[in-house]
Amino acid sequence: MSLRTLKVLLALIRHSMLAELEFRANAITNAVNTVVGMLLALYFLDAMFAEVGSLGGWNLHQVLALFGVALILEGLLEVWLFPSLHALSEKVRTGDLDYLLVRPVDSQFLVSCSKISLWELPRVLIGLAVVVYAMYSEGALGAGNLAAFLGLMAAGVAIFYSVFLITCTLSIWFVKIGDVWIISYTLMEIARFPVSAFPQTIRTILTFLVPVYFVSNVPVTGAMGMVGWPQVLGAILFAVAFLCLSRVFWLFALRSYSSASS
Amino acid sequence: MVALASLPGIAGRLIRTSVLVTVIYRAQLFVWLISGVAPLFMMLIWWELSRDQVIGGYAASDFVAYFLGIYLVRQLTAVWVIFVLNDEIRHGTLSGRLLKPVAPFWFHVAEHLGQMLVRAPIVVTVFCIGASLFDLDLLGIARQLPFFLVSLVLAWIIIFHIYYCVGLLAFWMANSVALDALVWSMYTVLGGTLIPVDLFPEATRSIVALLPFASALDFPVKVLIGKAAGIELLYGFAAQLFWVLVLVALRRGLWRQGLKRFSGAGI
Repeated sequence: MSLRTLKVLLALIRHSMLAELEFRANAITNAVNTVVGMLLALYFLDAMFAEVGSLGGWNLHQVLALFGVALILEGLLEVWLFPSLHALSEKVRTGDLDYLLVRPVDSQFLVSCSKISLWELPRVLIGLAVVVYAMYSEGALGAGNLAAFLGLMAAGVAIFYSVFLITCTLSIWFVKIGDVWIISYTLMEIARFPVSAFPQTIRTILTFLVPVYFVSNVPVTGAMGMVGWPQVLGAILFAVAFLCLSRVFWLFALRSYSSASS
Repeated sequence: MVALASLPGIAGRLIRTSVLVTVIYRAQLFVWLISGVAPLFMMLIWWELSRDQVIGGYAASDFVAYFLGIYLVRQLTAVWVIFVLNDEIRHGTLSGRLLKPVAPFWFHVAEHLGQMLVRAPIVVTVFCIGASLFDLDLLGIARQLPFFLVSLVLAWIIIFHIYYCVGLLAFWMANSVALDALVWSMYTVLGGTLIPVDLFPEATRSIVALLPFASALDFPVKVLIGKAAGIELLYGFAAQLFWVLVLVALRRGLWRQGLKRFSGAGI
């Protein structure tokens, strides 16, 4: 990322902050929502693990860490992906995308970061806290594991971003398909569970086709110190492949974009 | 007030409009169908767990029936009125609705019913395909239909009113949609989307079963799959009726008080 891109990013964040000052109260509501949601999740996990010994080979704390990861992803979605990319279908419909395309900055970058609502950040932080707590309960809290977690999480986020960008880019062809992003929410709901808990066929799909495994499962194995080289290599490979795919798809979509404005 | 005789005509027209809107936006319909499959993934997880053991009185086939039922009931009682209400109150477009001879509440009801008419056949098909894939006793399920339909209607009234009441809070707060996530997580966990309410720890199970969320989701599902019988059936219906009465009264109270504060900003 060049220095100029970084400056643009900072300007975008500052601008979004100013535009959203009035929604400060939402930050508190969101934090309360997240904490209550997490307590309910704990209640559910407690009930589940009272009945079964393990979930696809994962114990209570490991699955709890997965819930934390899902929370981080959900938070990033609210902070960054949703505000920016959800606006895309509206921009296509009104033709406002034109104004974005003529700017001297990479269009994918502008579309991906056009709006960042930092008030939704509590969810990411609470998610991180849940992961750290789960690591501590498992006696896996250490600098090495944390670094592994953050590195693998970055790869997971890259994959998640690519999937989200691709689904939102579909709106260039199907203007009315404004709600495709909901599919990403469903993926997140699945990401809260170990892929190994599913029947074999679904397991393969969730590993290779819709790589939920690399988005949420692998980061947690990193946090718990159970990660092996094949998983690390796989995560890097998938992250790079998905980033390239989303790039190619975006450029391809732009070619068939016919402006709606005059 | 509207003459009583013209009511069926108005209702029919409102519902038909909603059906047409749904058909025009059919791409959204497809997206919505995909987005509702989370219970089916929970079904697979519990099915895998219970392959060679009965968990809390649920065998593998019970889990399959339960979560297919959750999918069915949750999709048939999908409610988005909170977004509509929040928008109408904040932007003042409610004023236009207030001028019409039918109360805004019935517009919202008709909009939901119309969409359901289009969605129901698809959801029911998915349920039947799932049930035959897993060799469920469809005849046994069919026998439960009369009781199930009653509990389904009551469940719809309950969840619709919960969201309606929360949506009406927009009269007092800047953005009532902010509470949507809160209601959704309670509905999801305490309603039984992740785990049957029967499997919650004994100490708290009976409390959870009495909450409106279980009345709106877990109970109708149990009726459908024949897990609620005798005294439990009676208790379940009593709880549903109780929540219907409480929530209808609450909605009417909130509406009356809120309307006094409403200034129709933006018009």
